[in-house]
Amino acid sequence: MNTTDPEVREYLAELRRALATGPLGERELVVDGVRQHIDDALASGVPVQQVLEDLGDPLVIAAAAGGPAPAASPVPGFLERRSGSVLVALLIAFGGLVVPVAGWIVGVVLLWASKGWRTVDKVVGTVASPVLVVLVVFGAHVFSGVTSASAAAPSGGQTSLGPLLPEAYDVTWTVLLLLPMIQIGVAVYLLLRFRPAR
Amino acid sequence: MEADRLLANLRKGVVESCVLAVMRQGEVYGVDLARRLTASGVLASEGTLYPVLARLRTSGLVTTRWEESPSGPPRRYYRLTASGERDVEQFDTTWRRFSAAVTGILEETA
Repeated sequence: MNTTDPEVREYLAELRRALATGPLGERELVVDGVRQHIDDALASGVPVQQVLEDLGDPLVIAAAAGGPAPAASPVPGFLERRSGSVLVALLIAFGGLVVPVAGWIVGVVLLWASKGWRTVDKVVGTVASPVLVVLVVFGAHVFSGVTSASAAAPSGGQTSLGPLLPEAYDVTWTVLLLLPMIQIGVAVYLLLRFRPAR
Repeated sequence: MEADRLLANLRKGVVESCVLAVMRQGEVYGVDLARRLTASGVLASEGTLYPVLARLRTSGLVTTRWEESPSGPPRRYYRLTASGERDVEQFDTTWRRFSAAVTGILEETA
């Protein structure tokens, strides 16, 4: 290495001093790169004066340091790819059937962890099923209340969705039948709204 | 704004991407890279390449290797990583559109 040359040594010392206020890691990389450059240029026969002049003022070099580090494009993770979105959708649609409640919760957790959906879509994907179920049950309750009142049932005041079944059983039936359909609907919505990372 | 400061500001925005772009043709060693970019005016002086390279290496966009040279000291070669390739392609697209827009504005208002 030609750090024996006094001019080169002085130049590098000046460069170090100029970089002293910046981050340590970057400083070493810069000094190392410049030292390599000097070695190569001298080896190809360029005179020392010329090499250092072409490199330029150490203060100018140091001024070019300390800029914001460029952010590397993140590698799309599994949850940001189509295959990941399908898994999330399947868990939300059928997770609750395979492992009740927990399966669905895993789907929702992955939904929120993924960068492939906007927050709006994530909120819809999470609350749509519970909200829709509540609305349907409430609506059916109200509807059956209206119809049974107008049909003048013998046991006045009892609301039911069918003439032969008790109320609690109807609600459960409704939820069990509708919930999977609503879950599938939510899953389809999520698949359509997915935006895979480039 | 005086010409020097204007030039410095413009360079700041593109110098990293230009360094990446030169590496699209294959790995390069420092002196070549510095000379080429200084000659084209993208770098103010050859030395200003090295802070840029330092940032690109820290961000994982550029990687290096040593090669023993028969006629002198071992040389460090710089080349793009996969992330670096993605970034420079993104820059290529964005730059073309943006610079066309700027040129368009200047031409219609000349």
